Amino acid sequence: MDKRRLSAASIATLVSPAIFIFLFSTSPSYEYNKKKEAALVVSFKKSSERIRLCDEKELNAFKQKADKRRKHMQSALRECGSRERLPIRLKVWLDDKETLDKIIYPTGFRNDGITYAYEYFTISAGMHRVKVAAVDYRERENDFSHVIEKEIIFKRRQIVLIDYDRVTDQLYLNK
Amino acid sequence: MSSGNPQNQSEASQPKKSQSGQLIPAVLRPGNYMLVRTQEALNKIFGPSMNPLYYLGAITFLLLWILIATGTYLYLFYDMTPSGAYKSVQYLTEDQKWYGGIIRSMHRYAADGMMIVIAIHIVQVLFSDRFRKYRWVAWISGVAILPVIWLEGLTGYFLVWDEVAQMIAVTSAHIFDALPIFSEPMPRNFLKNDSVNALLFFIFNYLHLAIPCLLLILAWIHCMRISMPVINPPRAVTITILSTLVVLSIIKPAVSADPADLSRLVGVMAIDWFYLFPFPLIDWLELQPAMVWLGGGLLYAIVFAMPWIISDPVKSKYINPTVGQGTVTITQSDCTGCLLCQKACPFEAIELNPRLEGAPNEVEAYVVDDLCSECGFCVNTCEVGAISMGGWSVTEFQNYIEFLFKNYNKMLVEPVVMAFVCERSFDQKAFFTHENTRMKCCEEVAVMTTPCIGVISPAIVDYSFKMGAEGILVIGCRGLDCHYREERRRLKFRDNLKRDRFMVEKMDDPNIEIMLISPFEKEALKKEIEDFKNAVKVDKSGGRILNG
Repeated sequence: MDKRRLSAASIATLVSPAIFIFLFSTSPSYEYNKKKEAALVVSFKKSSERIRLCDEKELNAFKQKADKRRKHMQSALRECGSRERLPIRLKVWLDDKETLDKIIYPTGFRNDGITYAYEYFTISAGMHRVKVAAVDYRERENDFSHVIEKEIIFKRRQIVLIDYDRVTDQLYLNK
Repeated sequence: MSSGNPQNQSEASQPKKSQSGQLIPAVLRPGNYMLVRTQEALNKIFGPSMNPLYYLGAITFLLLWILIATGTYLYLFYDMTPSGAYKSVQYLTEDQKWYGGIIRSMHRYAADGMMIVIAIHIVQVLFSDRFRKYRWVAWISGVAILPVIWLEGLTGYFLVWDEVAQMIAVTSAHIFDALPIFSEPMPRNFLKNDSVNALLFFIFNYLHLAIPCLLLILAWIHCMRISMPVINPPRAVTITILSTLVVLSIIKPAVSADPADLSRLVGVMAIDWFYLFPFPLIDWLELQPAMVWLGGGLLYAIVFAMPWIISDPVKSKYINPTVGQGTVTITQSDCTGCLLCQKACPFEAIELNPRLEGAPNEVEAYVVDDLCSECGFCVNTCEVGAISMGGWSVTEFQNYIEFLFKNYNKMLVEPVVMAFVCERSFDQKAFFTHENTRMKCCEEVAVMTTPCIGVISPAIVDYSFKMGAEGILVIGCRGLDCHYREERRRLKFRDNLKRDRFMVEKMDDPNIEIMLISPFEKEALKKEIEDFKNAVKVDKSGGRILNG
């Protein structure tokens, strides 16, 4: 067994990195988000409409075909109409000033998946008028099917979330 | 295999100027100077056998074992759910203050220590020029270990699920979101307090347990390509480090920040700068995720590619030292298949091929160029002269010694001592004279430089005595300063030297002196050389009178 001993100076030298750990493992402290008083997050996931839906003739033809299939293979939407879904146009106004106008495409190689939105806005604490509008976007369409407009008091360091509720099919404020 | 007139060869391969500095690429020289100075200072405090700078890899392993042991205990009490994680860590920290709390603190501080040790280790390897050529695998695997350890630290911090974890999670999610591989935006995982689910904790927990396995694999690859890796530090160093961690854990127990709350932005917090330094930087500079990937990736790529970025001064500027530096070749027709060269090679660069039918020996040796360090250890093990390096086989060594003792410039004094000097051990310009054939301080000392003193075999020493040397000086690097990490092999060589020495008549111990020195010990070395030379006095009647 290695029985060599360390001198006092050696021990002091070997222990010295512990001073760095003592100092820098918790300090100096850092203030995150110093310039950010509060934040607004607009985020949702939504299945937009298909670009082309089934017409009645197609649907009937499919139903006849589907009746011969097992239950789990009868989904009309899987085999009827286009796979590709519409993008979603998202617009955000903060204190009546347009802050975002963005077209978000559905996921998937064929744009046939869910559309996810995640937008982050830094905002000062206090009262702000927030308006968020979204629509399954077809060209030249300027009307929004989903709109939420609120006056919100942002507390310091608060994160306010605007989300989409699939059940009620509405944008809502999640404070 | 090269041969020919040794005098011509020696003249052709004489160094025209000092090479010791030029062995290190110019860009690394200031760092190398600082490193050698630091190693020297620590050698004075610890002694070469205990100097922690020689055990940085081993200390990293020690800290890894501490992390695994303490982590196993913490895992027993850890609740892998978003609501229970923080509470379970608090239970360890507060309710088990004197054991769980200390173990948690040791776990954290050992991780911090690991980052410090690895950072020093990388700097040491870089500035000692031990990362290029045949060492590239060790460098690459070592550099790969660094982000793995960092990731391990981050997953560990996430598991506490306090404000620090929140900051790491949210910032990392934004950074990862810049990669076009996720269909759902990553920050959506941390939208609300109830968005964080147990599955996410399971994944992070799994990562925190799986990463050490990857770490061990990388460490194995790393050690596999290092000559004689040291895995365990000296016992006294181990005990001191363990005690330090315990004391530090008692003085400053590791505590959690406030619990994570995703409905609020994080504010002022105490952070661990060893692991979390990029986060304040990203926040302070307001770096976009793409910039983080680009900047971080570029920096990492440069470090990764260092063995190929830094050019080799040996090829571009270096003038061959006395012993030719260059490719090792084996003349197959001379190889007897004795296996001695294979045993001598510390880098496993010599392999054996079966001989063709009808040949006298079953096998023949060949050199794997990618593994060869050109240290020259194999050259003089081959007494039939089948191995040569840069055109120098054992025959050329012997011829050159003969030249130094028999065919020297007769204007010079007769040589008394033969000095074999490692080309990396000190500034040759300050010591050599007469076309680098003699020591400046005492011209009776003939000089031959070698890539490492491990090159010198008992046969060469024996031959030097036969040529008329009264004493042999072998001057090399101290401890693990040796570029080829061959301290132990050198000691073995020393043993061999003693054993073989008995075969040489009228030879006594004081006639051979091995000096392991630092490049900065000029005066001490001069004095030692002079003392040795004076100790070896020639008695014209045939015997030797030894002083001291």
